[in-house]
Amino acid sequence: MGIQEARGSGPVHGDTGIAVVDVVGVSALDSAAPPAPSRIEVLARRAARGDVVAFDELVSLHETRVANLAYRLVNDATDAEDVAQEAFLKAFRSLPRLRDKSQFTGWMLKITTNAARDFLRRRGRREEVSLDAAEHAPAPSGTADVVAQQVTQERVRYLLATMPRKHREVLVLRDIDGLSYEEMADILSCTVSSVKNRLHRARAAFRLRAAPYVEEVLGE
Amino acid sequence: MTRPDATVGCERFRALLDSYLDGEISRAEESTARAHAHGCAACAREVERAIAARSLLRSVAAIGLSSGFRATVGARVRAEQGRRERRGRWLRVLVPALAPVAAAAIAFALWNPTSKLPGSPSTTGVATSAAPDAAAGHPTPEEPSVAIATAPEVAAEPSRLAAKPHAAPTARPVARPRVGASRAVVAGAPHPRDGAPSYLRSRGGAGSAPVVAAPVVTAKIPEPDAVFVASAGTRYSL
Repeated sequence: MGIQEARGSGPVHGDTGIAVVDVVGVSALDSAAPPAPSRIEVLARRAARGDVVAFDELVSLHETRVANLAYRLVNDATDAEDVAQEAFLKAFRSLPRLRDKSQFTGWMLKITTNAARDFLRRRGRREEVSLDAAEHAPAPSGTADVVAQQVTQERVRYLLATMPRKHREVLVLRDIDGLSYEEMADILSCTVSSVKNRLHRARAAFRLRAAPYVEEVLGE
Repeated sequence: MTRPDATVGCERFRALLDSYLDGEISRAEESTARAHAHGCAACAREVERAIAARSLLRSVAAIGLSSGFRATVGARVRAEQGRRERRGRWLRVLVPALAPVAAAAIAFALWNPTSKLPGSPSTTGVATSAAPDAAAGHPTPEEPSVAIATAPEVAAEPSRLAAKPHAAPTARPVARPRVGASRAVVAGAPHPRDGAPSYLRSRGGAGSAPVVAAPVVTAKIPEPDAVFVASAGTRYSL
């Protein structure tokens, strides 16, 4: 199911009427009247016709999200910028072929995920992300609380980076980026059921590995 | 969707935990799960752990992009757009210019009677009878340098001699008649490779003389039948 389909006709629990798609604040049950094109859709249409200024604006709207997704998948800031650049360039090339321009954001995240996969494949880091990145993390500084928080962040990042790629992808897309199952299925090119199963296993594995830090958080 | 259950055990509750936190279960399931969590300290603690793990994941620091990121992307996008426009300009020029040429080439290929497809009736019918000619290296319509110069009537019957268009490549028609003719002229004489010193052969001595006489023989080929007889005779004389 595509992202557009997920948004347009999201599944509804038969006995409750609760839409299960909405996770990031976008209602699955849009009103019947066709909505006015969003700003992103308008920009995407212009960019598809070769308007580079419109694409610049799309880049400025998405660069943080795209770069951070890439960063969490490849676990290196410099590599993440390269991946993000490649993703934007691929998006510009392929934008005329995107049928529903309102789906630009999800489509952009899919391109970014694929670009990160390609990058990791080229680097030969199929399942394990390089551990060097943890050593290059900036040294914690500031007050004791801030230092403790930064240390915990680095530990969690390390945990995430050393998880299998498939687990890492679903954790990043769902628990950090907040995408719906349908959007994740579209991005990862698999079924919603597969996404749920993968996510369940990934969360269980992460909870197990992060148990000491979780206890720290709970003990405060 | 999971089946509503009035009583949820610990194992069932933990299996539902992620869906419960995601709001992916029905209201009935949610109420029973909540009731279980209120009554089970271990499962309540499990809920807290799961929530804390998710908040830890969200706490992973984001990166700050370098100042030149947007400019770099913009420059690459503009370069791509420039390439796209140049490609478009070339296509706008080339397509109208090449369309008549392509149309003419197609029309010529369809009209030209000598361009025969393999297996067409005009070629397959003669294929077996003309095969010895081609095998002997005699001229075919695909060998214009010999056929046109020595026997115009041969070229006038393309359907009979087009039997094996692949038998003699165009680059070789001169060499083959010369070899065959030299053998015909010096039939019974020692082969050029026999006895004659190499320095004589290389300087046009006794060994190389028949090769020089080759065009005379090929010039005597008047028509396909004669070609066949001559080739047969030549072959048998060897």
